[in-house]
Amino acid sequence: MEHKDRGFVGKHYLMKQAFGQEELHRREAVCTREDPPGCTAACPLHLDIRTVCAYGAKGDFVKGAGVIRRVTPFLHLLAKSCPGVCQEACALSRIGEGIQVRTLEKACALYGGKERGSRFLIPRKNKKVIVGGDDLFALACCWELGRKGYEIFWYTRCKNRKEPLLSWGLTEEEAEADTASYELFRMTKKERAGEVSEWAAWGDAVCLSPDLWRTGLPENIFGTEQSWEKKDGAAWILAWAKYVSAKAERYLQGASSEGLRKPGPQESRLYVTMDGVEGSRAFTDWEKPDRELAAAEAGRCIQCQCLECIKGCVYFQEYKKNPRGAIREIYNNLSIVMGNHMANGLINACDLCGQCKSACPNGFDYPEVCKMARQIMVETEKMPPSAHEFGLLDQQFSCREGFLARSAPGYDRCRYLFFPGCQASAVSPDTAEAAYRDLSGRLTGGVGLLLSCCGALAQWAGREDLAAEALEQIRTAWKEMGEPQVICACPTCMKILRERTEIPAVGVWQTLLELGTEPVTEQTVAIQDACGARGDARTQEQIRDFAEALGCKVEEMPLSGDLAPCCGYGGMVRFADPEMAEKKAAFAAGRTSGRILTYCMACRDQLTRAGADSIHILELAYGTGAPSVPDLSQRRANRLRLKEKLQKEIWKEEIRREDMLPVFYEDGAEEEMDRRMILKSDVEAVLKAYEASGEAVEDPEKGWLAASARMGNVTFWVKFTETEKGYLVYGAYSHRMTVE
Amino acid sequence: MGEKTYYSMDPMGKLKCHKCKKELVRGRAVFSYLGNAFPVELPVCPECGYIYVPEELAVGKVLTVERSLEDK
Repeated sequence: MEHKDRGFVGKHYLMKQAFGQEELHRREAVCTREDPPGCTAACPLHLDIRTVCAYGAKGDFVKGAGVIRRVTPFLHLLAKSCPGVCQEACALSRIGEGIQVRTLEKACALYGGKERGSRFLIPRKNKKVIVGGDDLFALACCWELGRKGYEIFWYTRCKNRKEPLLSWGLTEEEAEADTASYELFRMTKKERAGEVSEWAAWGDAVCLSPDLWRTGLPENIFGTEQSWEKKDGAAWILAWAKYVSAKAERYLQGASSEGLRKPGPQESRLYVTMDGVEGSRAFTDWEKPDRELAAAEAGRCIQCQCLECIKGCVYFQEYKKNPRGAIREIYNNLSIVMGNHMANGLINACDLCGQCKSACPNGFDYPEVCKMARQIMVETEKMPPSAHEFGLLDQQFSCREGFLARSAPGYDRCRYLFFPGCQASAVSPDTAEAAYRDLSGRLTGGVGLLLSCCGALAQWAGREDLAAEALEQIRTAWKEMGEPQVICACPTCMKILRERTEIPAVGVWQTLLELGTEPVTEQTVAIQDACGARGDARTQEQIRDFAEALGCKVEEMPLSGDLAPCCGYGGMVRFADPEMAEKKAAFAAGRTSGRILTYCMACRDQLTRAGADSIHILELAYGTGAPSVPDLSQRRANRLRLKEKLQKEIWKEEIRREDMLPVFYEDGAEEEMDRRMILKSDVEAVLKAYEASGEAVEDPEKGWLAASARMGNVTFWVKFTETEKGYLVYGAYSHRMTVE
Repeated sequence: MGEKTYYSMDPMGKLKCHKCKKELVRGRAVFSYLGNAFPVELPVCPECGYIYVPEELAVGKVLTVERSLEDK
């Protein structure tokens, strides 16, 4: 990866790119969505047949004819003699009959062929081109160069420009329609005279029909040369005329003809999403295309496109974007020195779950670009401060107030270390406790406990410094306990420890399978695979084995395994774009009406929030957990309570807690605070500040007081009254602006 | 910039400073965020200078301006 140096642009603007244009193009090229579909690639003229079908399906054969005539004027000729090679290349031909494009060409000629194309203004070019020949090839060269504005002299024995077409069996009327556009050109027909080699001096460039071509001609004479292979069908002749005319034009422009492709079928890389498409038979016979039937035939076209990355991703669907287009927007966003960064929201709403990369036939790595962009935004101080601050403070809480590292009681060094992860402690602390007690009871050699965060949140936020700090804290604790085997209850923690540290980490599901598990249920469940286990077939299998060992009957949901959609927690989206996170959760939850078994506690939390009947696999194993999920304040309280409970009960430590203020909440206040990401601890801090200063605003009419306190980068306001029992809080709000 | 006020709010004798027991009056204040400053008029205690930021302002206009400044 090439990294442009971070530098100051202008006086004081920091600017940095993730990669240069070359790498952008390389990354874009991994995606095949811009490649032509099979039909266009196979067509000698590379006609945009997909668009012809789109218009045809609406019965608009005039526009369909227009699409063909942008490439060649000889619509009636094609309708008669097109080889139809595209029909075999059609994606539908793999499962049934391909689209009968010859029928559609005929319909375009019949029902749209008489319309005149737009009379566009042709720029005049001050160069003369001589076209020599009596055949279709010569006529086509006249069109190719005439429409570019060159003055054409057609050296021919033909009586008129219709003659070459009449020899292909067209009627006078059809030939007239196919050559009507020649009226717009500066074109003079002349009797063929003189030697071919002399023509070189009479014009700036010369195009010759294949029958006039010979070797040893001057350099401004162009023809089919030796490579001409006579193939059946007018389309090939037209394609060659296109190629020879392009060579002549390059010469006239003083450019090299390098890179011009000789006529021939191309390979199409376009991957075609065929979900739900069934093979079908053609509607009509190409000889007699009835208008309605031709439209129905065009309507069979599936408009080949690749939707692999988009079909399971709510984020791309909501933004109406695809990874290829999005990385260009991100690239441009990072290039902005002054002005609005329109793609900040786009960058921060991706959950970095990797589903699109797994789904892409070529492995287009979109999350990597988002991650890089976030890191750069942090480095150049362009990351919106509100996007990730709450999540980062949550990680800080897990690593400080909620942190606990203890070797097994009675052991200085232990053989195992249980690491439930921040989500298990926050969402279902009794489950984390039950698992720890179970492991301690059944494993020998001592099981230590680590309550902390693996740094995933910081990594998602582009804060490598904080991610490294979290891992260093874990590493220190692990070393102090004699480098035990770490047993993770979260697939993301396990993945991060494996990828970023030397710490040996296994999943708790593996350990429990090895220790043996009794069946506890007979229910049918569907498994929500976690993004932390994407690409980790072993973990996905172990989870299914573990679920079966617990007595579950496992059913697969649509999009499972590596293609599982994110629950909405990943990538800090829950903090940066809560609405997006909700939509993702709803999509993931909506894949089944039955019970969803998760093995990541964040998935369990998000899916339950979205109304699904979800349960974590450890909750099922231990009969723990609650049907509801905690709000933001409870998530912190749960972590703290778990830590203190285990400290007290297992390590017999004395816990001193600060006296809490007696605070009560009016109905609805807590839900509103949760939506506004305001914690009860924030409210208590404001009330403590009020107790110390007595500063508040009073609304005598409504009877409340409003006090405020600045904490970190945020000012919190609380509306409350003082009652005999304590404070009654009506609501809280916050702003990041300072006011003075 | 000094003369222009971006937002104005009159307490209209409805609010009181809890500490000084004085009615809040319309007073000058400055909102600042990410190096940008906006002079505004907000309910202020004439005695101690305590500034009140009403809820509808904080979750409305202030939030919108914060978001747009963050994308600058």
